[in-house]
Amino acid sequence: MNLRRTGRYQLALLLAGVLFLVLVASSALDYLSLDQIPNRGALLGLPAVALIGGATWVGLRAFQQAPTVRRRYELWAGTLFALALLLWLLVLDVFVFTQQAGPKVAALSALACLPPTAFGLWVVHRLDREEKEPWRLVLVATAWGAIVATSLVIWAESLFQDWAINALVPGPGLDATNAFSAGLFEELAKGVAVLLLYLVMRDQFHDVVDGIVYGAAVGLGFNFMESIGYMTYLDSLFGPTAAGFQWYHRQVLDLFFGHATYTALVGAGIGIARQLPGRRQQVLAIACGWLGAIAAHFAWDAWLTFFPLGTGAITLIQVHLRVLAMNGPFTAVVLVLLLMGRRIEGRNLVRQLGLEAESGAGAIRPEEVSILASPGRRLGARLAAGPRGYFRLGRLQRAQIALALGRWHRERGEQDGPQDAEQDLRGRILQLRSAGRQGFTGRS
Amino acid sequence: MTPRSDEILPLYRAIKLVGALAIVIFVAGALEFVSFEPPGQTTGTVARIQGVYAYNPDSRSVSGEPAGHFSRGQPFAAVVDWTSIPAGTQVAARWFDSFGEVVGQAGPGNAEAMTENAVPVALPQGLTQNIPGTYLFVVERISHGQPVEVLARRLVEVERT
Repeated sequence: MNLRRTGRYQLALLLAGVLFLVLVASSALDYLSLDQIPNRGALLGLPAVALIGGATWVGLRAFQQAPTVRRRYELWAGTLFALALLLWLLVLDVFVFTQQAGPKVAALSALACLPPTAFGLWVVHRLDREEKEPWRLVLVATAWGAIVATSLVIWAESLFQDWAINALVPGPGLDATNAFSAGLFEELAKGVAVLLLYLVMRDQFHDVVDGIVYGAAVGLGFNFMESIGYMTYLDSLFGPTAAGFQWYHRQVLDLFFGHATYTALVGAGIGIARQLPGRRQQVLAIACGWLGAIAAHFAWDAWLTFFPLGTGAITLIQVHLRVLAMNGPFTAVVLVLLLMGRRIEGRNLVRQLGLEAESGAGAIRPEEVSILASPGRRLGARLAAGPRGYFRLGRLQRAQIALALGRWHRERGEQDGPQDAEQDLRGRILQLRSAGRQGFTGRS
Repeated sequence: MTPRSDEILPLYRAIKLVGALAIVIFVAGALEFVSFEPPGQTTGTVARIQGVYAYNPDSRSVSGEPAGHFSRGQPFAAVVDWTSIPAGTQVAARWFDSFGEVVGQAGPGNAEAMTENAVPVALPQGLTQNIPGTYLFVVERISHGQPVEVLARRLVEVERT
C-alpha cells in the first residue's frame, strides 16, 4: 500500500471516528431531552447506526479480499446491514414525527416513497454509460443519506434554530438564518458520504460522472427519509390529502431537483478533484462543489416565500413553476457537468481501448474496440450471446472497460493502487474470455 | 495546471464558477439578513411579559396560572405589561406558530397607546384546534414600519395530544 493510499485511509478513519462520536452525542441528547417514546427510538437508533458503520467497514474490506474470501465478508456486511435496517424500522415506528400519525401511516408513507425513490436510483445508476457504479456502493450511499445523514443533522439544526429563535427578530432575517443552517448542516452530513467513498473506494470512483452518481444517490436516500417524516407529520395535522400532496411534491416533482441535485453538486466537486494533480486544486474543487450545494439548498429554503402561491387550480401550475425556476438552474448545472464528464470519459475510453488492443496483450482485441466503445453495441453483443452468455459477457465487458479506465488513470498519474493491478486485470480478462470460450465476434 | 490535466480544465473552471455563484448567493443572503436584522438597533429596552395563560375567546379574558404547555384545544394568550416600555416607543406583539406563520398580533402602535394586555393566538383558517409544536411570542420595537429589536420573547409548547 503506497503512502498516498495510506494517507487517504487514515483521513477516512479519522472522519468516521468523528462522525461516530457526533452520532453518539446526538443519540445521548435524544435520550436526555426528548420524552418517553423518542427515548426508545434513540436507544434503538444508536445500535442501528453502529451496525450500519460495521456493515460499511466489513463491506469495504470485502473489496480488498481475494474472490474466494470476499463472499464471506459480503455476507457479514449484508447481515449487519439488514439488522440495522430492522432496528431502524423500529425506530421509524416510534420516531417523533410518527407519534401522532402512528406506525400504520408511517409504514404506508414508507411504502409510497419506495417506488419513486427506486426509480430515481435506477435513473441515477444509468447516468454513467461506460462503467456503472456497483449497486452495493450506490445503495450504501443511499442508506447513508437516509439513515446516517438524517441522524447527523437532527441535533445540529435543532440547536442552531434554538439559538436563532432566541437571538434574532422573527421574519425574513431569521428565515434566512435557518435556511443557511439547513443548507450547511444537511449538505455537510450528506456530502461526507461521497467524501468517504472518494477516500476509500478510489477504484470505483473514477471521475465527475461517478461523483454525481454517488452524490445523487445520497440525496435520494435523504429525500426518502425526509419525505416520510413530513408526510406523517402533515397527516397528523391536516389528514391524508396534505400527506399525499407532500408525497407528490417531494417524491415526484422534487425527486431529481431537490436533495439529489444538491448532493450531486458535492459529488461533482469531489469527482473533478479526483482527476486534478495539485492538492490546492483538489481542495478548491471540493470546496466549490460543496459551496454550490449549500447555496442551492439555502436559496430554496430562504427564498421560497418570494414565489407566493395563489389559490385554486393555478396553484398547481405555480408549484411546478416554482421548482423549475428555483431548483431548475442548479439541476441544469449538474447536467452540464455530467455531459462534460461523459464526453471526456468516453473520448479517453475509446483511446485507451485502442492502445490496449494495439499492445497485443490479448485482453482487448482490435475488433472489440468499436463494440466496447458504445453502450448500445455492448448491449447488442450481450443480447446476441443469449441468456446464459449475457451475464458472462457483461462481466467480461466490465473488466475490459475497467482496464481501459485504469490505463487512463495511470497515464494521468492518478493511479495509486498496486502496480501490478493492471496486469492482474488482464489475467482476469483472459480467464473470463476462456471461461466464455468466445469473444464478441463469436470466435474462440 | 500541468498539460496532462488539460482535458479536465473546463470541468475545473466550471466547478469554480459554481463556487463563485455560491458566493454571490451567500452575499445576497447576507444582504437580506442585514436589511431585516439591521445592526446597531439595540436600545437595551426590556418589555415585561406577565405570562401566557389559558384564554376565553368569548369573554376575551385570561384565567388560571401562567403556563408553558397547552393542549391543542386550549386557546391561550400572552399578557404584556405595556407600561414596562418607555412611552413613545413604537411596538408590536406577534405570535408565530411552529411553521413560522403569524397567528396573533397586537399593534403596531405607541407603547402608551396599547390597551389590550392579552394577545391571543388565533386558530388557523379551517382548523378547530391549534397546530402542535413550539409557539413563539415576541414584543418588538418597530422602526420605519419594520421590526428591528425584540424587547421580550416567550416560547410555549402546544402538545400533540
